[in-house]
Amino acid sequence: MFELIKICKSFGNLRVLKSISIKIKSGIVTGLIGPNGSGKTSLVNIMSGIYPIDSGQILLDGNDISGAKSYQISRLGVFRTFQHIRIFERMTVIENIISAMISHESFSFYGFLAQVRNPEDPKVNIAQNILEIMEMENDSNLFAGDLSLPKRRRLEIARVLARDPKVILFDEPAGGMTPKETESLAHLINKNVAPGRTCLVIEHKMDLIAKVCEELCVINHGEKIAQGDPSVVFNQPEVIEAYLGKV
Amino acid sequence: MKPLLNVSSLKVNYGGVYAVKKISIKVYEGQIVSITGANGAGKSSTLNALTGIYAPSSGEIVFRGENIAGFHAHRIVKRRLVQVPEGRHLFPNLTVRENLFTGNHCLGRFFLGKFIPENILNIFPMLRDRLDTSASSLSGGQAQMLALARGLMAQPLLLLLDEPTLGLDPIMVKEVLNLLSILRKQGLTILVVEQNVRQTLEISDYAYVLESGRMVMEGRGTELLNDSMLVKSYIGFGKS
Amino acid sequence: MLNDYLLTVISNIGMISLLAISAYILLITGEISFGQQAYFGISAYSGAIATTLWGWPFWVSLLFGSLLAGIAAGLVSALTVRISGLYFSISTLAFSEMVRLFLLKFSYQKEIDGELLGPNGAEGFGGIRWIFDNNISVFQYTLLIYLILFLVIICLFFIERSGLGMIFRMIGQDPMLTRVHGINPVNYKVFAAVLAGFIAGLGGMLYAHSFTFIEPQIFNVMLGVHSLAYGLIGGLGTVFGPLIGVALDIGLLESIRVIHGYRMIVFGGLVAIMLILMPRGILDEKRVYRLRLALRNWLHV
Repeated sequence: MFELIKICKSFGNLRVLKSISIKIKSGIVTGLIGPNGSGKTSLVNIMSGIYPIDSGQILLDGNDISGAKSYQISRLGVFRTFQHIRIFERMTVIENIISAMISHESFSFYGFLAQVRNPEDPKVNIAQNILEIMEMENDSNLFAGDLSLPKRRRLEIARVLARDPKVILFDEPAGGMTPKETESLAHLINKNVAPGRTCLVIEHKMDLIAKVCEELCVINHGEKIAQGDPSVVFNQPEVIEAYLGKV
Repeated sequence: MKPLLNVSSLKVNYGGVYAVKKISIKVYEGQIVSITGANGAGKSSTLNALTGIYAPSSGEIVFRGENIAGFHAHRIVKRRLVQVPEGRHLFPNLTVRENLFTGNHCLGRFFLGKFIPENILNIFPMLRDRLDTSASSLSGGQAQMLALARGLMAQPLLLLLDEPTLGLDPIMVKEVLNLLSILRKQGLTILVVEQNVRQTLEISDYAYVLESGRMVMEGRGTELLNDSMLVKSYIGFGKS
Repeated sequence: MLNDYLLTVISNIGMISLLAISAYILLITGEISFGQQAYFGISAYSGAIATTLWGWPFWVSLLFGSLLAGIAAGLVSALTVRISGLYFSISTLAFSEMVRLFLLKFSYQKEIDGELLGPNGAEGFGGIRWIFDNNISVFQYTLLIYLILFLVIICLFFIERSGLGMIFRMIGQDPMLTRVHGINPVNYKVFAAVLAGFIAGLGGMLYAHSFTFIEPQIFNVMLGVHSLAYGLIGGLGTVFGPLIGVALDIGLLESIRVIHGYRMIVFGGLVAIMLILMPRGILDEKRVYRLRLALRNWLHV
């Protein structure tokens, strides 16, 4: 279980998170929604160790990980995707996935010097399987920089899967996608990514949220305004007023 | 009536492949015309060819009776065909006011204008309070408003919008699309590329659907909205 | 047979290639260093002092000079590892100029066989006579240079195919994403700098013994800028990229006498054109990848 307790974070005079507490249940997909500028991405940056917190506590399975660096947090099995896609554009698709597996290996000297460009390497097989899971097995030899936007987003997820993560934090995984592309992504997440993992999804596209999330958390101005079952949360007047807008 | 913008058999070659293969678009004065389609269908390439960011490989772009195909971007914007780019492209180190002034530079004045028309501030009241804050401190929705306002500073005859609701929350999406209707009522002509299909079709007078560089459907916004089977097969509607 | 002039050009290509490779290692980790000539110089001076003044064996001196250069590079890198981009480049430039100005003041002379030898500030350091004392011909020395270059290339070739090489490229493309992968880029950046310093050092030590005379002015910033440009022209996709750059510049431009006088003009123009047409050089990542695929298919057939 990922637990955030009374997290505060400011940038200069701007208080982004105001003593926010959220419990993220294990094994299910939690949606995190809120208006632009409400602090969602800051929250994910804090959970992945990219920003330090000002005060508060972050617990992962009961262990205090507040103050841990991003590379330390990732070694605990917490991985994320980015709103502005981050992939290694000058590597091929399969190299991108292998790049994630290298760091997964023990930090022995031999681990680093093991051949990764060898096509018979077992890592290549594993990477190919992951690409099949993300339904992009035919793109393995393309350069990541040449992929279309939906494929780049999928590559980000594939790369995260290569680490067999316990927790995945998605930052707008359907950003810039059409409804049809969003739908197939939602299907993939439900079928191949989410089972057995704890996921947090930031998204504005309600089609995706409605399809993948079993729990919903709404924040506004750095404070939590609702959490619970999606059908209940969607009907709360505060949520409608702050986020969904009157129909 | 002659169209304000008449694009015929436009082709755009981008990195060795045809991103746009023979597209024709007509925009009449006072309309909102929308272009929708999947990622990689060639929507942004079309807009970028219209404003001269990419040179089209062939085809005609007639704007107010003049073929502007192949003109450089800075010449096209002087004809008051103005694009608000995807991802907003604000100057983060300048204040909101300075960002607005960069918009009317293209009107041919050597020095930046120092006057913000009152009607722009009336349309975007939230910008009025933030004129002297830095553009980097704006939230996504506010930044989009500023990008729109900056486009209006150039006094466009035709405003091109590339994904104006990208990354915005549902309320902001409604607000931005609502603004487009308001601007149209004030007489502005708008060509918009969007992925919020249903909501965009609702406000569009005419709409085009692209699929891998080709035009696969066109029609009045409300007609396409009712023709759900067809649109669904190309882009899907999504939940509104 | 090869005449001495041609041999000098060839051995020059070999030594400068080592410097170009050292700049290339930093380029693939995403940093532009204007200061690799400093490590070249440190090793040239210390290696030559070791053989000439202290009478150390050549191989020991070679290792001594290169290790000293590597340690210096590691120290500088440890201090500057938190900064990147333009600021890193400026700090490397500042350090290399510090080294050059220090060498201008550095005097350490000893009487060897009735002759005062050793570095003497701006007057330079002459009489590095190891080659003559041991009756080594230009041809033999050239072979020696290429043996060392070959070993370096083999090492780098395997590093590039290994996880370590991939980590270097990951850091070069997106340090933040590398962090999120569970890799702390700091250690690897320092390691890359040490490796680069060591390889530049190998080149510098060989250079001093090849020319028998060195002076601080040789190790000025233009040498560093050239070594950077070699990688950018030749390509950042493989370790052979910088070698192509060196061969183009020294092999073609400097040795063809007609254009010798205009070398800098031609070379500057070449760099500018290359940066526009092929921003990551002739052998960039994509071309290397295609070549590798083609080679693999060819070998299987």
